[in-house]
Formats: sequence, structure tokens, C-alpha cells
Amino acid sequence: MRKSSFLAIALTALSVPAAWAHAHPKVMVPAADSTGPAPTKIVVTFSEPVEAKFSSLVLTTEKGDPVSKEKSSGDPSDPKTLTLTPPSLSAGDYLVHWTSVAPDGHKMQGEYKFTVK
Amino acid sequence: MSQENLLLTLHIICSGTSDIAFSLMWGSVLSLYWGELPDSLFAPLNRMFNATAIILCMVLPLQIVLLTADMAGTTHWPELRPILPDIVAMHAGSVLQSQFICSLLAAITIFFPLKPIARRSVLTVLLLSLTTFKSAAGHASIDGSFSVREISQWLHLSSIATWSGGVLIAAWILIPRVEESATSLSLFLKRLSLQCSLSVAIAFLSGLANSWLITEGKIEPLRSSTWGTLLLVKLVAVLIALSIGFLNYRDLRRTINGDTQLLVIKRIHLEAWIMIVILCASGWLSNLSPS
Repeated sequence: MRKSSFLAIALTALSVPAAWAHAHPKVMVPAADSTGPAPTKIVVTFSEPVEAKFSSLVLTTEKGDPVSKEKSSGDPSDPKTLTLTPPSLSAGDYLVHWTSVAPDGHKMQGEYKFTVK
Repeated sequence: MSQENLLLTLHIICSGTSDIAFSLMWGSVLSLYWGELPDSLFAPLNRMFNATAIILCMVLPLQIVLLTADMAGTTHWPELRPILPDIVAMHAGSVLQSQFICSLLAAITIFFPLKPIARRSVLTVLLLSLTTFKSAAGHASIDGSFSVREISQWLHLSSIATWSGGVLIAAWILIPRVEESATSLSLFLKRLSLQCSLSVAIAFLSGLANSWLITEGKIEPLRSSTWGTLLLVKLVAVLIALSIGFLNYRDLRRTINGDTQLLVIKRIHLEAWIMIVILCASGWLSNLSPS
């Protein structure tokens, strides 16, 4: 497998182009599909640095209703991380909608669920 | 056509045009360094450089607008205008803006009556700066400025542009104009072959490093993504171009007669069109993600 990987990459070495960077969530707090107490902060660390101005976390109920108007913020010391401070959450299912913009301008979007008991 | 597809199509057209113009700039400047270059060729090479710089001056602002449309999720100009300053302030926007400034300076050199050596030096500095900003775009930008990824990208972009630009300029400008003098043409073809061989070697090594960094040593992106499929299609075109280059290299090592020279020239013209296909494919691929 290792040899075939190397061969494939060696063969494409001459034709390799630039490609979009792709920042997707790597570490989520609270974790995706987890159940636990109401979080005081929602923190998502992406696989690559993100442009904080155009990247965001939005918290909604399972039905898609926004939980608060609070905006997520970037961490100047860690360009891969976005943080959102939610209001006190009652028991139920919540969705975190994330948007990431990599330094090259590639935008990605997605969502994950967590449950407050 | 949906808004998303429209934006992607425009991105691909801009990237392809930009890559072809960039290669032609490299080909023009490197040709100016040919010791036996007849004086009559300075003007057409300079015109080609300025023309490609003007094309970049039109394409790069459009790319900034397209990036803004991507971020705003709309193509409605009144909604795009207010966020343009924020786009230019982010990394991708600032890199495009810097490329635009280099291209603009390159385009206006035509208005300054510089001596050939001074002009060549100015164009070289501007082209190297443009390459530096171009290599800071795309996937290479994720590790910050002057990272291993960006240096590898710089080497790859410049060597591919040397190869493709050398062939394009040879086919479209130099060969038709130096054909009268068989000795000059033979010397030129040998020089072009050496230039292409060296650039292919550097492109291979830097491409190996780039593809390893992009795929992180995994074969899956090559097999399971559109990016991988297109990359393999492009590889076929590259292999054809390489084979043509090898045949020419082999023939040019010997003392060549008129018939062989004619055959070499025909092959260079064919290689030039394959280069256009490769550069267009690059433009398409640079707008896709490996995963």
C-alpha cells in the first residue's frame, strides 16, 4: 500500500496543481453527537487556519431556530479555533452550524449535533 | 446554470487564463536572456510580456470580485461592494491584490524608454515578485508566509512556467521569426531543449513534494475525488508533452539536417497546444479540493 501510494504520487508529481485548502472541524467542544451538561462555551478547532472575519459558529435548536444573536469569535493566538458563548441552555438537542474560510478563500459549511441533559 | 456553477465556471476561466498569461510572461523574459537573440526579436517579446501583463490586470480584479461573491454568497454587486475592503484585507484577497500591482507595473513598463538590459532586469524583478505572490495562494498558504509549502510551490510554478512558457513562446514567436537562419534556429532549439529538460527536472522534484504535502501521503484523494480523476487525466497530457520533449531532446543531441529540424519544429507546435490543454486543466484543478 505504501509503495503504491508513493508510485501514484510520484507519477502525478509533474502534473500536480495548486488546490483549494479545506478547513474542516477537527476538535469540537462539546463533541459531535455527545450528551452532557449545558456548555458555557462552544469551541471548534479546524484542521487548518481560518479567516475569523468570514468564518462562524451559529447555534440553533434542532428545528433550526437560532438560540442567540451572539457572534462567534476567533482566537488571535490560535487561528484554527472559533469560540461561541451561548446563553444558558435548557435540556434538548442543539445544532452547531459552522462555516470556515481557509486562508486561500475556500469556504466550507456543515453542522453537528449535541444534546444537553 | 445555478449561481454556484456560474461562479465555479468563472473561477476556472480566470485561473486558466491567468496560468497561460503567467507562462507566457516566463517564456518571454527567459527568451530575452538568450545570448544569440536577434535584435529584431526584442520588440515582439516585450510586446508579448506587456500584453500578458494587461490580461492579468483584467483577470485579477475579476478574481477578487469572484472571491467576494463566494464569501457573500451572492452575485448582486450592491451587496458585494461594501465587503470588498474586507476581502482585500484577508490573505487570499491581499495575494490577488499584490499580483495585480506587479502586473500593472509590468504592463506600464511599455511607456518607459528603457535600454534592453535595464528593461529585461525590471521585467525579471516584477516576474519574480509576481511568482512569489502567486505561490502564496491556494493550499500552500495554510502554513503562513515563506513556509516549505510556499517555497515548494514557488519552485513548481516557476519551473512549469519555464517549460510551458518556453514551448509556447518558441512556437508562436521565436521559431517563425528565426527560421530564415538555420544556424540560429538550431542553436535556439538546443537551448530550448536544455531549458525544458532542467525545468522538467525541477518541476518533478517540487511536484513530488507538493503532491505529498497536499495528499499527506495518502492515495485516497487520487482515487476517490474529482480532483484526483482530473489530475490523472492531466497526467496523460503531461506524459504526451514529455514524450514529445524527449524525442526532440534525442534528435537535437545530433547534428540535425533540414528535415529533422522541420520535424522538431512540428513537434514543438504540437507540444505548445498540449501545453494549453495542461494549463487549462491546471486552472480547473486549482479550483477543486482534494477531498
